[in-house]
Amino acid sequence: MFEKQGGKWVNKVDQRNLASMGSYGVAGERKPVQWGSHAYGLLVNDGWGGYGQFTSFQNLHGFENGSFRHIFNIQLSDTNGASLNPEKYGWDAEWKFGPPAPNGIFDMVVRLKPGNSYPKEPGNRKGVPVQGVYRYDGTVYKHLVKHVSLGPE
Amino acid sequence: MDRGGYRMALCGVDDFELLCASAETPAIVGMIDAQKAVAFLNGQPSSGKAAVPVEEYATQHALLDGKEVFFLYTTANPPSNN
Repeated sequence: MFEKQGGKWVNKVDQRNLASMGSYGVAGERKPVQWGSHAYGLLVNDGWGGYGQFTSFQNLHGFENGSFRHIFNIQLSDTNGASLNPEKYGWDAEWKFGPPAPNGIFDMVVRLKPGNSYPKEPGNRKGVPVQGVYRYDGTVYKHLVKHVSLGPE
Repeated sequence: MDRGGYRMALCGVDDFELLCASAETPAIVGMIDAQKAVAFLNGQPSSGKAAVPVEEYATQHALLDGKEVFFLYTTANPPSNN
């Protein structure tokens, strides 16, 4: 990160090897985002596929207190539709930033899309996000009603 | 007299820290963009850091605490992953 000082740009933060992600040598799509009134960062898509199963995730790396940090990871889809498993399932979720909370950080609004079907085994449903509004508490995004959070891992 | 001594001789006690610190700080002069930022980071051998790996990049201009800032994000496949 460079900071403008007069007519010059001074390098204030040089943080390398922030994260390793992607597959087959290709990084997921990413885009700079504003995640608060005065908060900036990079949103990175991730996911994997194999044996007819495909998943997708998004990760936010945010700039906070002078350095970048992995803020959250959210799974956005999972399907085994191309697998040989006879018990097919497939679900998709989406999220968007909401209005800023009192701390200036935007809330997250998470929703599951209609028409989803889920794995029968509870252990395979762990990645399904809980719908609702999440608020950043300075460390993690926490659901406003339920005791769940979107941790960095 | 070396450059440091020369500057010290020019700067008064009160303004020494501000003037001399800014004179010592390497920086990009004028407009900034990704190419300039990468070249700058790779041109600082004293940092002891390896070259910035760049295959793709994204940039972001922002205001933080009333200061104009520029973020440079780079991605690259590490050589060990070929």
